Amino acid sequence: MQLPHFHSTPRNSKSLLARSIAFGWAPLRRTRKTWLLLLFGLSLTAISIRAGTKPDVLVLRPDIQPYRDAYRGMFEEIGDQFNVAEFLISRDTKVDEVGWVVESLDPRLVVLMGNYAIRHYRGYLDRSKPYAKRRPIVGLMAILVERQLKNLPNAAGIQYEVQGVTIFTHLRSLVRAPIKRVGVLVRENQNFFIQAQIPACAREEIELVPYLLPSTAPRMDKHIKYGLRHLIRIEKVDALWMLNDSVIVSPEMLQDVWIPVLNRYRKPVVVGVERLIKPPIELGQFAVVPDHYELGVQAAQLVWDISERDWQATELGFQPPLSVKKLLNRKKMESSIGMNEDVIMEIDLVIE
Amino acid sequence: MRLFFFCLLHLVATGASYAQGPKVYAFLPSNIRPHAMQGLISREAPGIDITFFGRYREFEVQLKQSRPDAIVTFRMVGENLAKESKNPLAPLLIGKREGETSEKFILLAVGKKIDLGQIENIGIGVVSLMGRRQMAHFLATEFKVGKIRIKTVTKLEDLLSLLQFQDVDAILVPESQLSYYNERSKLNLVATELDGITLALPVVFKITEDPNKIQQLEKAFQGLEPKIKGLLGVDQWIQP
Repeated sequence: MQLPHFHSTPRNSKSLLARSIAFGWAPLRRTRKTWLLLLFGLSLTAISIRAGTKPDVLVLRPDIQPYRDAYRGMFEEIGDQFNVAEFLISRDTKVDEVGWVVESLDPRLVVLMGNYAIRHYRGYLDRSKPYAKRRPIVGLMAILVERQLKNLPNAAGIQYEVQGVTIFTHLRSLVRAPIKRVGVLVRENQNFFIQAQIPACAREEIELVPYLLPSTAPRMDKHIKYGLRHLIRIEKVDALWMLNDSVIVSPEMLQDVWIPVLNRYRKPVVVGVERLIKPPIELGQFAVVPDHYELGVQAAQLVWDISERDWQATELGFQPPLSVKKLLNRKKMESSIGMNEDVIMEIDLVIE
Repeated sequence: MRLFFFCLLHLVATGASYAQGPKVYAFLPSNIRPHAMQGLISREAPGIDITFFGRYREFEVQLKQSRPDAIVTFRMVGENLAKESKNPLAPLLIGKREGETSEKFILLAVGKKIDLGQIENIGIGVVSLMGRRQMAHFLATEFKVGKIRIKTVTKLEDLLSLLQFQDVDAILVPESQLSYYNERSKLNLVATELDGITLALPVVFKITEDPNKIQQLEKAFQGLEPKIKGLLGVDQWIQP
């Protein structure tokens, strides 16, 4: 199965085209000049779309593995029903390039994978005519995607952040000890995320116990240390959940706070990054990370649903990711906590 | 010298392929990861070269690219593959559990039974055994409705996520999986029985006509430990 794709237009060859369309996307009217420019542009890019067809779905994504996996998942699911094209972008891609591709191909729907794709596409929309905003968008694999796509009138998407209830349900089946209360350190400016987790956790009879840290502080290490001790000694939580927050899980914080404080902690620590359960760090025993291929499959489902709603995305909203990969540091888990051996066969990666 | 190494490599490669037993592709979505099932069966039945697939699309693509000697999957999947490829697949061994070759499907919902009279208006989560379009067609036929709203997932556990996120009204699962969901979740899961909607148990379909390979396949699958057969969803294999 061949995946149709674009590559970003070579920079030195794009300037004429960029200048030609930099008049605020008074969107490429199909004049002879425009078509010549379009043909010129197409000749400079590696395009492999079925002749005579315009894509139903245009995917903007970076050319790195997790995004390739997500694209593959999506393409394998809908590639036989929709004409799908992709345009590879990077941090250096210009908004004009994105705009040119979108205007030229005029897809029915755009899939934005990652923060750069969203940023560039928003940049394009800022310069374009209002009708461009009506084209449906599916956003995924971006931090707090719902916030990034807010105010856009026809957007849906899949959140990148794995939900607490998913993590704790898997943890509960893996360990013998009861998991009823889970502690989490969260900065005040991200507390909205934790608050949104509480109802789903409560339905599964798991109490989420957040400890609020200041959004910024000159000595964040002291706040983290105090917070961890509070959750462990005062709240006596059954497990700790470590959020992927670059401020509280920086290399310095890991070295100076997390590792020393959790050195003798004998309860589960769940993380969202593989390296935190692998040597030499081995901070947690269990990691739950997004399954990128399945994110693509889930995005494909959204594309189906949007197409069935006459290309209206808004009412579908932003969904949590359904599928995850589970990674286990078996030695560390066995040495500190009893484990249900039968469940090992449900783990995607076991680090022995 | 280079030619010698090529010849040597060729000999090693062909020797290795002759040494291997019949090639089997398996697609049986369960809570167990495909690599774990593959490792387990490879150890238990070294006479066959088995590959497990976790996703229907991968299974389907691989079947087109490289033909195995046999496949193990649910009967409905085999029949769908045969229909799409227009090549009939002959059952070699039929799975049986507790004396039956099929089991009932049930609908699981949170806190209430499903009104089957309203089936067209509810969202149903289901593991994708044949791709979304085929699954929707299969279920619409089984429920005797024109159209059905489904959400497909790849893994069993993702069906639970659909219920946890209140993304669907119910999930469609074989009755034997009820205990899996009850063990995993504290949600008040209520089952709605479905008259006449069943899942035929796994079948070993032969593709090869080589009698030696067929014999090897029968021996390997019949000889599996009861626990391993249980993981495949059967307790015995019978001749068609």
